[in-house]
Amino acid sequence: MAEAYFPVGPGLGPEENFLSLDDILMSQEKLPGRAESNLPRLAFALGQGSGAGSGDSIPEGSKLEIPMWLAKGLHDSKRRLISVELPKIYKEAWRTVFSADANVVDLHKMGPYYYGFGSQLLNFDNPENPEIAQCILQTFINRFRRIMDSSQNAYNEDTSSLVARLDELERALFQAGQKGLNDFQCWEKGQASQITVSSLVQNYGKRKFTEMDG
Amino acid sequence: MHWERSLLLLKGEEQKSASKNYGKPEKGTQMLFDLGFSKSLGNSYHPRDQMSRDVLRHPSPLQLPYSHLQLIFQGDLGPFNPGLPVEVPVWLAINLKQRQKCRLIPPAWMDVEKLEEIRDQERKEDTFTPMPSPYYMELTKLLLNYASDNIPKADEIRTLVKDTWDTRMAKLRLSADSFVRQQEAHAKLDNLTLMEINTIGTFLTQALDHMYKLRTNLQPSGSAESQDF
Repeated sequence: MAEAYFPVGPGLGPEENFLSLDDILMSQEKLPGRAESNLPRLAFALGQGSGAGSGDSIPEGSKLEIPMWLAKGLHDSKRRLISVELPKIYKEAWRTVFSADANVVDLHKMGPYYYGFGSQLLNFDNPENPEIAQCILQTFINRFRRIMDSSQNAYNEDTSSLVARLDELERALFQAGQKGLNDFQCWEKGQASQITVSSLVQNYGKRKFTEMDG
Repeated sequence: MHWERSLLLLKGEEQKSASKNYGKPEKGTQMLFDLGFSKSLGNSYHPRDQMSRDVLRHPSPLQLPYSHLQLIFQGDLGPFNPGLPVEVPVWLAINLKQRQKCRLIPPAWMDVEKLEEIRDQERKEDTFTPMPSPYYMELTKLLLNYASDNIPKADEIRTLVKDTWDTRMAKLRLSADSFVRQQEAHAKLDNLTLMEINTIGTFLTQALDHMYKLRTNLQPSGSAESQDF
């Protein structure tokens, strides 16, 4: 049962967790935005190498798709280099959907880091910030019951359909619930007292040494 | 849990294998151990009453290799006299039972009528009712696995305990959900056993962790603004 490593959980706040792989992946997500002034020599970073305009600069007013980490760096309320818009899933229309029934939304399709990304959006001094924060929290609360029930009841089943609509954060939670259930069933069948090979050792044996040298 | 005392009736060994081990091929010796729960049972429970006939029929010297045990943690156990109930820890009871040295006396609550009462009570009330033992699941499993022949209606007991467990788990999930929904800050876990807490613990604490962080998002972060000079 011993895990090979313990994943570092996402920061889930205005600051991301430096060591969390989930947060690193999350910071790659794109944000719609607009350049408020000329951004010289940034075109390559934004993947608009040969865009219209002078060389590799981005002209004022052009629309951008900026990764979160860059948007955080560039965003400055005083200098106004870029302005950031809300992704549509955090906008008013979708917030209404979430408040109607959060359970039906496919959060994995709508951006697999709904909670983490939403928390990061609060950095951008949007006037709708309180509503966004409230909506994210309420969504989590409303979806909690279903995650708990499905993770605690699906024993020896194919769980892929259960987790298909879950956000990455919820999937981690689902796994925690599954572990609780599996450990209990394991005890009940009398397997808990058997000593098993650590998953670390098992995986180590599978890996070929040539690959490691390579 | 293994130091939990349980009521056992220990009986002597009739099989040849055991008599080989201990060199006393006495036939049909019976001895009584009182493993366990006798303190809480009071006068209502008389293991001797049930077993005395057997015991009296086969009076014989003890076949255990020891007349009493000295244990580091628990002090002395015994003396192990045939026919007398002895209170010993569960691990020793199971061990002796596996070697067919004894007969187990199930704890008083491990009884179909009592368990039905407990189950109905559990279903009736919204809160958790106190369990007869904090280790009721563990003890049921151990005793039924190793000594089901000493427990009357073992199958029914198994089902009843499982029913109680299921009711309690459903209740636990329901209260966890309302806990999250109302965004409570603390909860009392009265009458919950460790086993029950353990199965849902990791999940619930992680979920509450997430919820706490999402809730702190609601407050505009003063610290972030103060760094903005």
